[in-house]
Amino acid sequence: MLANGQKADRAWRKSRMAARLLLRKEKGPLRSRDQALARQLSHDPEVSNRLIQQGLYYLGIGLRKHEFDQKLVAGRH
Amino acid sequence: MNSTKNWWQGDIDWSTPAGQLLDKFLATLPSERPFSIAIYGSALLQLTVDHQLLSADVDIFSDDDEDLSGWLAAAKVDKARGGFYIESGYPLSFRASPHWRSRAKTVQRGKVTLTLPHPLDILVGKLGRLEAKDMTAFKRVIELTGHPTAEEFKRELQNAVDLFRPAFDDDSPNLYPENTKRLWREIFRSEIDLGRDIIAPALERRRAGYGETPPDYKLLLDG
Repeated sequence: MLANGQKADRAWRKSRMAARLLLRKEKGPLRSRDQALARQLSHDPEVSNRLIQQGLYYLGIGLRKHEFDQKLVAGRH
Repeated sequence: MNSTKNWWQGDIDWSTPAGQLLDKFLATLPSERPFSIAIYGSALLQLTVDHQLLSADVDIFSDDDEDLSGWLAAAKVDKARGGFYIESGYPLSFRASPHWRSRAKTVQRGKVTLTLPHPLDILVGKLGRLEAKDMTAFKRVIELTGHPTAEEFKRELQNAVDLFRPAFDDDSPNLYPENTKRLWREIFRSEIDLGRDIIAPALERRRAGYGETPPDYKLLLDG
């Protein structure tokens, strides 16, 4: 069994991975391997939108965040 | 912004009825162990702001949740005795701003540490009932100190925004919303819009602490 700290760390690492995939997706369509991983993470209960957002800031999205969000949301429609 | 600075020193007048009764009670407590007691309600205002303000009792609670009723009975200052008495409650009995402890004063009396909440917090607590005597307390505090102003009190009610939530099913109805409107009309001679003036600014500050609401990134990952 994992200790709480390890669990939190795992959730954070997976969410940061999700953030990295979103940054990749912004630049263009994901490769099939990344797509499969993205789908898997999107259904993972340990991954949350809030943690992904923190991951984006961690990876340096900074002031570009609003523009990034809009671009991703527009891309979906 | 500190709306409580410099208008209350928290000096107790021990010659008031509340002071004398409290003094009598404290003298009966064993000196070999410490007590930590907070005073709230009108008696605090009588002790530290308006010595003429009437109070039916002295409301106190133990800071560490100890039931003080046995000590009160032993000192013969509880309500069973009749006359002016001390009523023991719990920290939960005192509904005030979450900031109340940071602006309260403490007084050491032998082994007893007395916590005196700021009058502003006593007034916030009074809004739960706002009977005629509570309205008088507002008037007297404002007459004597010039505070709280409408803006100061509005700010404190924003900090205490959870007081405006609906009551639990088995609790009495929450009168804070209606009483606040009544207070504004009678004391500040104006109308207050609770949603606009208290709840919305409070929630905005609360959300700022939580961070921005993220879009549904998980859905975007899946698509």
